[in-house]
Amino acid sequence: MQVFKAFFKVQKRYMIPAIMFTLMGVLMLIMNYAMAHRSTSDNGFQSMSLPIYLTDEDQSEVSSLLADYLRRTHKVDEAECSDEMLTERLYYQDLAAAITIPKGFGQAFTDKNTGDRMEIRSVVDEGLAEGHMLNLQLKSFLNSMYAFYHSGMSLTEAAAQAEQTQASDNYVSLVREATEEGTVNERSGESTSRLLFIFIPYVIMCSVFGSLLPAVMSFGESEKKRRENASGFAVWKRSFALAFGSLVFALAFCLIYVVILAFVCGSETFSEMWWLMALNLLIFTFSTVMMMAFLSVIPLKASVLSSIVSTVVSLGFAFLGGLFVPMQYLGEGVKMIGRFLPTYWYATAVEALDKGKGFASVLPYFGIELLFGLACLAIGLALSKASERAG
Amino acid sequence: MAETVVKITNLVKRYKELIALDNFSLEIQKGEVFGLLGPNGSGKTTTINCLLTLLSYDNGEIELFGEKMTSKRNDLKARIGVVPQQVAVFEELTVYDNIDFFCGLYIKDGATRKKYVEDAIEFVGLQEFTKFYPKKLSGGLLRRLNIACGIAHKPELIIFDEPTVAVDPQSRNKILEGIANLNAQGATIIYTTHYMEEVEQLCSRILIMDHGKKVAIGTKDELKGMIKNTESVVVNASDLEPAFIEKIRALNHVYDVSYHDDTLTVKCSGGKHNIVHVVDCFADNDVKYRQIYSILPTLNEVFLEITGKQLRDND
Repeated sequence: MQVFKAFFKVQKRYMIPAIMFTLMGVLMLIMNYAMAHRSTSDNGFQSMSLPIYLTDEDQSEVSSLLADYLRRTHKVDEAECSDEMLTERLYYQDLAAAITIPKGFGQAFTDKNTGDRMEIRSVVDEGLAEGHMLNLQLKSFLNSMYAFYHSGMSLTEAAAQAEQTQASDNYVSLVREATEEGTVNERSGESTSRLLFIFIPYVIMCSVFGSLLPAVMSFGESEKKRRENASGFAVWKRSFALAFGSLVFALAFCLIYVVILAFVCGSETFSEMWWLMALNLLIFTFSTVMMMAFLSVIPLKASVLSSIVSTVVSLGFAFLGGLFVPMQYLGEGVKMIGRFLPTYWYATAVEALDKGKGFASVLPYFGIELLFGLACLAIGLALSKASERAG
Repeated sequence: MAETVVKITNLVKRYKELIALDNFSLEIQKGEVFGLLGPNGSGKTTTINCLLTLLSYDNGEIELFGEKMTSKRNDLKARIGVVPQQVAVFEELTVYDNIDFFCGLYIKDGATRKKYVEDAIEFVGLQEFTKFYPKKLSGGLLRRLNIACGIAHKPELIIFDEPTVAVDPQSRNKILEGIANLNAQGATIIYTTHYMEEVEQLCSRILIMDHGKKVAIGTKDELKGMIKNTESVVVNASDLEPAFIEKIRALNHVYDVSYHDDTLTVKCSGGKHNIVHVVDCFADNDVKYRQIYSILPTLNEVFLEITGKQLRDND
């Protein structure tokens, strides 16, 4: 109890980094929360009016209806323009696309027996999304108009109906995905829980390495240890008190975030996915404390080591593990390195849970996280024993 | 007969090829202030570490308070206090909390511990600094805190490992007075230092060790008696003739004479009133001198003659 109480008194002196990192964590939570809510709202999308060049070689009823539709939705330029000039305007992004309605397009469109409809010629800048979006819009409009016309409407009615279909609000429907266990989860990925849980390990690492590590190292200084060992105070009692104190401290931090996340995850809170993500965070916290035990035997000044580890190592682990950048954007080389880090398995577990996977699927990831921590702890204990023998 | 507090018999400690302690034996009686002297690497710290069971040893036996000392004898460890050479306190705890922590490793009862901590604070004179953090204390006050942490549980045997290194003279005197007081209160002291004057002032018995072996042991007078030089007569005089110096050399008990920079040093071995014989010689030969005085040998000279090394050979 004596060491345990003293540990918290020592710990109190290193609370500034812990408070700082907690504030940073809360700030990141707020930002991610705001981002999550903005990106999942369908009201966030707005139609865009793009500058396009239009040539109507067909001059049919169909082509004029299409041209009218384009004029209403985009800024259409129909003035005479050479091919070189068009290329130049596309290059300088003065135009998003150059569209040509070829001769015979209207006839092919109205003829039901024509197997392949004549395509509109559209030149876009391949590097820009706007051109592709415009092509999709055109294709969608023509498909709708074609369907309405051949179902019995007049060309004018079909065009009006197709335009209305294009203009109407689109709602995102949730994909019903069957999990391996046979249960059904209504998720398409990128849940609020995923967005909020994914980066918490970084803040936990910063807090543990920035605040807990120097306190533990203070107890490990050789002269103090010598004094304690000379007193007859059992080494195992001391080690147990330090381990227990470290866990209490780290779990307190973990709990702060879990409580905040319980409030901000909305309807997802206390769902199976949320609980498993919280369990994942708890396991990662255990693993981080064990990593800290390994780091505490490195013979460097506590303040130097703690600042190096809490910045460089935490950041490195976060990036390589895919906490800041989604897994799909990480290169194969980075992923290969990441596989040796607990952050990678934490992020993998979060992504799996986000996709509706259950406990059985993520259990191996939890195990790897714990194994990493245990390996660090074992190395730390071996190094500590070796240095005691040498000293 | 005095109680034997520490008994070390034929202790051997090897670090691979190096023999740190070579059949080292020692006995310390209750109430002694025992000085352990030796150059760096002589085996002082190894002896203390073996005594505290911080190090295992290859051969020999250690008894404390008449009982065999092993690493599991926490009851015996509780009767020892250690004041390490380097200040070993928590920068993150106040003066009071530091003493309370180290005292708490021995004393579980809260009320007793509180009293012991307050006694220790008063003993080292840190009453005004109880809420200070070590960083705010001067070197001398820090040393006193280091001592308080080692003695707060009122041990019967206290080991001081160079407690006055880098301490100002005023604080050093306070520390030495404190150690003398602890001894007066009944504690047995083992004191290692590089400062010979402290040993002369404080220790009732002294052991000089080198290469892991006991070189000499005894009171300071007994040790001084072990060396050839018993008195040095120093004379300040100009232009002394070689023939006159030879006359001085021929005096009884004189075994060495040197003359540099108008200073004649006459080293004597044994005999009484050697200074009178030198003064008579100057008068008989009608040679003038400005100043004459006698120097008795110091422990430093004893150490130098016995070990062939300066005690503070790292300086």
